[in-house]
Amino acid sequence: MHKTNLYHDKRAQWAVYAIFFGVLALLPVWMGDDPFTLNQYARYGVFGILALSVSLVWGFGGILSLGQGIAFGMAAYGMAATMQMQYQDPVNDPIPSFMLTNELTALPTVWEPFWNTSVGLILSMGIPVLFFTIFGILIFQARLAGAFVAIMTLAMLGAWYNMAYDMQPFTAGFNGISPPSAFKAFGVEVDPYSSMIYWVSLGVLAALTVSTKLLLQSKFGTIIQAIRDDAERARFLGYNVAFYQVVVFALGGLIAALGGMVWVIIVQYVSPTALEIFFSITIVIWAAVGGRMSLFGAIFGAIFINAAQSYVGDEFQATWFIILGTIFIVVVRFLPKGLAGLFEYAISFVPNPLPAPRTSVNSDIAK
Amino acid sequence: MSTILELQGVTKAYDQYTVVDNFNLQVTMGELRCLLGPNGAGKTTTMDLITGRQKMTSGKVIFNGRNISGMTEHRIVQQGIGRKFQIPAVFKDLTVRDNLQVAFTRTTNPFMNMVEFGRGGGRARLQEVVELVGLEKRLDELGGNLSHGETQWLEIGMVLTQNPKLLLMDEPTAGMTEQETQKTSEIFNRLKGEHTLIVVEHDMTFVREIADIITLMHLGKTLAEGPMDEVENNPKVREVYLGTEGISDAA
Repeated sequence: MHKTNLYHDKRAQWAVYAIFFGVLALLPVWMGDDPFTLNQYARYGVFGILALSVSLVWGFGGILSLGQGIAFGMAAYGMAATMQMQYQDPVNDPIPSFMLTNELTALPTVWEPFWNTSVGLILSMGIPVLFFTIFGILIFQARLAGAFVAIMTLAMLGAWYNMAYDMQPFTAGFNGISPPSAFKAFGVEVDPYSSMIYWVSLGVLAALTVSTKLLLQSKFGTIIQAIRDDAERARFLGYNVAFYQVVVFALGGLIAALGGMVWVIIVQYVSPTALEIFFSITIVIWAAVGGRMSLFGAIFGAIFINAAQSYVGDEFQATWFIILGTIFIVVVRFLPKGLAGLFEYAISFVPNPLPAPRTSVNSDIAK
Repeated sequence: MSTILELQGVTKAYDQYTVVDNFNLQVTMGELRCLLGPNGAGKTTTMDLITGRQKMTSGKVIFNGRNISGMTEHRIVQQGIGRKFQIPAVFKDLTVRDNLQVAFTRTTNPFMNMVEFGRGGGRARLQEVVELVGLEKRLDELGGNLSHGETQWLEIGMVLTQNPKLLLMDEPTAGMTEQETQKTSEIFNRLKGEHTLIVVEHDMTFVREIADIITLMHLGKTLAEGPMDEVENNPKVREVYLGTEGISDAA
């Protein structure tokens, strides 16, 4: 029966999270502190965060968003602006150099709030969420679903890409913004080549994963999966389907935005590439390969593909995307639930060694 | 007895074709009404119009003293109307238990439901419903793995879990065996009185067993209304179904 598979046992799932994040947290201790490796691994953490957002929105919410890069990119620009202004001096040097090259004589108004780090952080997080809320209302009130949502998010992503590209005096256009100094908060400087950056990235990933897991175990989590299965049925149980979808979409935006912020702390750089269509589609591929209907699977997919890209990709530079595309096609055709689905199938042959849960919801009824 | 649902001159027209034509209906609280009629008579469309799934061209629907025409679907449901679809619809990737839990709608607010972890309320209701529809042993099965009959039961169970004042059942026994149909009629007979039911059905044996009053629709209008024998012997009905064995055959 369904629940006796260890894969579906909530206790086993939490145990896997604990082991996974526990082992990853100790990684710097074992492998020493090679700064470039740590920086590299911190980047994988962000890819995991992005895949997590896709898993929530697409895997559980049934919303195929190809625009996660919008939130990621917006937050990345916000964070870059915050870090840039930490470097600037209000009296002697108030205008970032790229603006001077673009013949600006005063700091643009939209940049003013970023003098304050807290405000900068709140804006970096809040603006993408606000945007996803409004954009989500437009999409889901109209009851768009499936490919139409994918196309709309893709088109919107394209629009933001062009905006970042074209508004050179504000965004430094194609060149992007590279804040000269590392991010500082609460008197601490987050060195992007240190174990601290690794733990920041992993910490955010772990916190977001646990929160999302809890969210999915709440009734809200069951309802969004119900909506994914049959929106009409859910509607006729009295749920405002569009409201739920907007909330899921906005939460997905929030997760991607946090990813964008951590990303800029790690790489100290943002350019329109963060808003590239190709990048957002790649995120979806990570989640699909790992298993969109499993948070852990999606995160694993992101790390697995990126690790493969940096180790195998070096050997097959020109053909890497062909390899990636092939993997994607194979997964979509033969493993609709990704590697996680394969694992689910494999482990179904192993009897669940854990005793039947006593406290699980309504378990008494089953008797 | 007071009227719980009233349809006043409800009309649904596509370009030239009027599916529901100035249709009037009054349902008393606690009664079980059967909606009969040949294919294309407008039965399912009428249900769509009551629940807001389709927008009516003109007319008014009054439920529980309140004009619900033009409300969005979930608002109408929240007034206390539950619906079972003609083609059984359950959540295929959720377990039977989760299906029923989603149907238990103490609150429909997303933020309230984020801090709801299934403890407290609902448990008693779930137990009651599961016993009623006989899915005790299937609680951990996925909705998509159920047989056709079980799927019907699950959807009926979901509508019951909602505990609405008015239940709209579109062909609840389609694809059921004789015993299953028998059990359904027992349940429906138990439900009426406390709940009001409108049932669209083709199985005349079933209708005979459950219906208080029958409304026979034809081309979007009421052709006859009353107890079974009266409707059967109605000359207008005989005329429409001339050459057939009466409504039993037409249905």
